[in-house]
Amino acid sequence: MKITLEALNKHFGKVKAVDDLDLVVENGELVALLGPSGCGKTTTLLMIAGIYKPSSGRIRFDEQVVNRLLPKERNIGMVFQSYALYPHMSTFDNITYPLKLKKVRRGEMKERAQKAADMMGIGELLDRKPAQLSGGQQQRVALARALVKEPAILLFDEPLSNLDAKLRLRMRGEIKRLQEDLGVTAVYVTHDQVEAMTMASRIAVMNYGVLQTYGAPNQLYDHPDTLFVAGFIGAPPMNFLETRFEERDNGFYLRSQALEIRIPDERGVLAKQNDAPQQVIMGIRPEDITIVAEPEGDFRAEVYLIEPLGREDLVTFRFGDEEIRALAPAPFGGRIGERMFLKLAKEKLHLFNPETEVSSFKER
Amino acid sequence: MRGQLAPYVFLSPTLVLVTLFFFIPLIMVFILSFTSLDMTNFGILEWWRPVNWNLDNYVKIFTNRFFSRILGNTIMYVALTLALFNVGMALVIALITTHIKRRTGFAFRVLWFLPRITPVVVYTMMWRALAGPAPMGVLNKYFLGPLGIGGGEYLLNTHPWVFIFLVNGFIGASFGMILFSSAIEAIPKDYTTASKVDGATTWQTIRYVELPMIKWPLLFVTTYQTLSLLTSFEQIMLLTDGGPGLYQTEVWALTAYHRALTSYFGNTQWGYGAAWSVVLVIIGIVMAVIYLRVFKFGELVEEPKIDQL
Ligand SMILES: Nc1ncnc2c1ncn2[C@@H]1O[C@H](COP(=O)(O)OP(=O)(O)O)[C@@H](O)[C@H]1O
Ligand SMILES: [Mg+2]
Repeated sequence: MKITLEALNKHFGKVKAVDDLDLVVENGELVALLGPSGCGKTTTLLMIAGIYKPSSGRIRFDEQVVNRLLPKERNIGMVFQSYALYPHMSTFDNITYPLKLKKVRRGEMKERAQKAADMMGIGELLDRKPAQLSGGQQQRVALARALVKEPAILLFDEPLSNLDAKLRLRMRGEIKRLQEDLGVTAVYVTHDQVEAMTMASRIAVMNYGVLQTYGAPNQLYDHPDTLFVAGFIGAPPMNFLETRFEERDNGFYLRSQALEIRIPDERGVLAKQNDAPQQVIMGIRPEDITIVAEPEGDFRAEVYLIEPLGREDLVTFRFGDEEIRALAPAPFGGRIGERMFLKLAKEKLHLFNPETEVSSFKER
Repeated sequence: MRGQLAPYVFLSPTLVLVTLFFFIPLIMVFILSFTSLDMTNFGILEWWRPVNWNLDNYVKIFTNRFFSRILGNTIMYVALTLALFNVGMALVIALITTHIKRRTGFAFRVLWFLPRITPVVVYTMMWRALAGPAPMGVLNKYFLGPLGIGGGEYLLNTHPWVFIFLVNGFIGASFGMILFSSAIEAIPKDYTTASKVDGATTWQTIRYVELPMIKWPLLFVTTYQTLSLLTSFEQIMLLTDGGPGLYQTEVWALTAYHRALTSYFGNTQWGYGAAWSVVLVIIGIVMAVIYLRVFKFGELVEEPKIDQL
């Protein structure tokens, strides 16, 4: 089922929880709603589910406008961060609750519950109460309950946030696999950008109720449209430096007290077309900085902090008043206080207008 | 030493009060119930000596001509007040006021709760005034008269039980209402959201999710109100004093009071009245145990079965 949100708004008193949201989720797609806490992700989800009535705007399932449909008329399965398993019901009763409400025959109910439970690997736990299950098991029961009525849409509200890191990784894979196998349309809310990157075919980044950008994970990572997206997606996060944008000698330069970089001409032209101001914010991801021998280096900096990450070391450098972080293959040879030459991958630079916070490299 | 003493120093005022005004009277009532102490032999009968103890009072109770009427009245009074008002209406009000706008619901509950701060005598007297005969009584004059219902008689004489239920119920319901509504509001939103997404109507969500989750407040209010209704008699005393017909609205607690503390038959029979109270206490304990069984208290303390992550 295709979901279309058109100019969707939800206000709670003065708070604009969701502000003029336009979003299309194609049939069978898993879209992640990504953003910091309080940015309106849950509110959006609850409007799709029919729990909240939009203040204005439209929600369509395929072509049908569903604004007025009750939750029970929407055929949606939902999974919560808190699992929301009814504590007084056994696993079986929890899973069959949606079927009981649909007045499904007892025999068919049993069959479908068993099938959903087996699919989630909890077939042996059907007689237990939620309090007798571990967090991971509870999440599986919650998934089985969402799947048992064969919903047209699956909604996830930070379903893995309460699990430990290892289990989270495993469930992440299982959910993605399940969603692909069933071909069900899914909206997956998370504040964890790694989860969004790995699971979703497209990511909608929200902040203060406003949609910041919407696109494929690689698109958002490689070509972030806004300063917020650039800083929010990617771990360790992108470095930002204030620089001047200059055109001279038929070339384009970024300059600050400590460095001067010539950027590729076609990028410079693009920035100029985008009316890049004199003062711009340059962005560079830690993996796009390399430590080199003197002749190729762009500038010199002093090693300030070394944080081993296993496969790589995250090294913080200082130059002038600025700080920049780079990923170096482990083991990193340098010592703290040592001065080294850094080279930036010019084609991987990002440029943002500090006023509008929009990328100056945005294609039009 | 000092550290060990301190708690008892702090507890002592309460301990003294509870001992003086609860435990000692309790034991005395129990002992008195086996004696024939009354106004006429006070100071003569050595009630504390076991030779003067016997079961005569209890035999008298169970062979009393009006025993079955008093028992019947008590059961009807407790069961109907409880079912219709103290639990029933309390639950309905709590459910309604928690499923509408928060502020409106809260304001309504405050209003409903207000009569509780009226002294019970004043409150009951106001009801008597409401029930008064035609020219004075508000109900007769402004409602029943214009509608042509009844002949303007004193309503407490024609429908004493209706008023006993209303007087107790309207105040009684506010206790359960407060407990139930706070319990309902404490249910995490995710449960009701999940239930609706699972396809439930509001009523089904209440029936299958919310009510089971407020089982313990329900048990508590039912038990507590059963016991307090069993032992309450002041409203009935002020309204009808057991009348208007012979023992027509006399309940157990009122009988105990009448026997022990009023000279209905020329003397106040402390021993006999005490025996009525003791039986009432036993009935109360039995009821409480039955409730715990019915609500399956054991389920609350089931063994956990968590074995793996
Ligand atoms: N029922 C509500 N009443 C009032 N304000 C709400 C309600 N639900 C959410 N909000 C507000 O709307 C904003 C978005 O909340 P939410 O959608 O829960 O954020 P997220 O799920 O992204 O953390 C927050 O500022 C929150 O305080
Ligand atoms: Mg949320």
